[in-house]
Amino acid sequence: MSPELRARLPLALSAFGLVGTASYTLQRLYDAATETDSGLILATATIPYFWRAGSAALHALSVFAVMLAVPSSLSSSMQDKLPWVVWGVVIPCVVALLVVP
Amino acid sequence: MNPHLFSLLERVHGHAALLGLALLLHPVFSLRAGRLASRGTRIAAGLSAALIALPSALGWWLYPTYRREIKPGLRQDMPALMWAFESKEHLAFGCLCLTLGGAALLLARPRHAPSLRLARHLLGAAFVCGGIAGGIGFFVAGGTPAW
Repeated sequence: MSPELRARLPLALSAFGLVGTASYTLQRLYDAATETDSGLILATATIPYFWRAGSAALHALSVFAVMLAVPSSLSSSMQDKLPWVVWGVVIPCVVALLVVP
Repeated sequence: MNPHLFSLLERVHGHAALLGLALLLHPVFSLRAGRLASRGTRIAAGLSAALIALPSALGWWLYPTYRREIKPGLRQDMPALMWAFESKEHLAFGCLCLTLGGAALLLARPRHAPSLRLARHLLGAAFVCGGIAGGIGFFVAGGTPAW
């Protein structure tokens, strides 16, 4: 693995984890706000959970690919702040997913 | 799928995921205070990612059967358990994304302290999501009637 790519990976991989989690949470909140009756969900042929998970995975992979193109100097300079970003994203997502199942 | 196979696979899913969660704690603790990632830490991170990804895949395979055979009854008789199960599914997905990101970062053999610190926080956040999901899983498994 080249040193350039190695320097870009932390930002790209943390973006993968965070965007996947945040995208899933936002989709779930949107679904909860727009679904009229949860009983009707059971009658649908498609499974909303799979759609949400698939879309979130696609978003996470897309952002991962974009972040691999970010200059390694920028990626390195952001690494000190990223642990705060991790908890700043994850804690609201956990609370939201517990409050709005 | 017959009820016996479903019940067996459901238990395999739960136990393997809990094992993956327990393994996730190894890198979280061994990387504290800016320590370098040893070979054992990287192996533990890789194994925990595998032990969380495989039960997730098994869970996705079981989900349509749960939704068809168990969820309607739960919705009618024990809606609190049904909603708790939904929360578990949501948090487990977050745990999977964060574990894959953190474990891949460790497996890429980062040499700088900030990268190791970041991997530790990603895996710690994955443990928080997975730990809550596992706790809810115990609660749901204990209260759900057998199919």
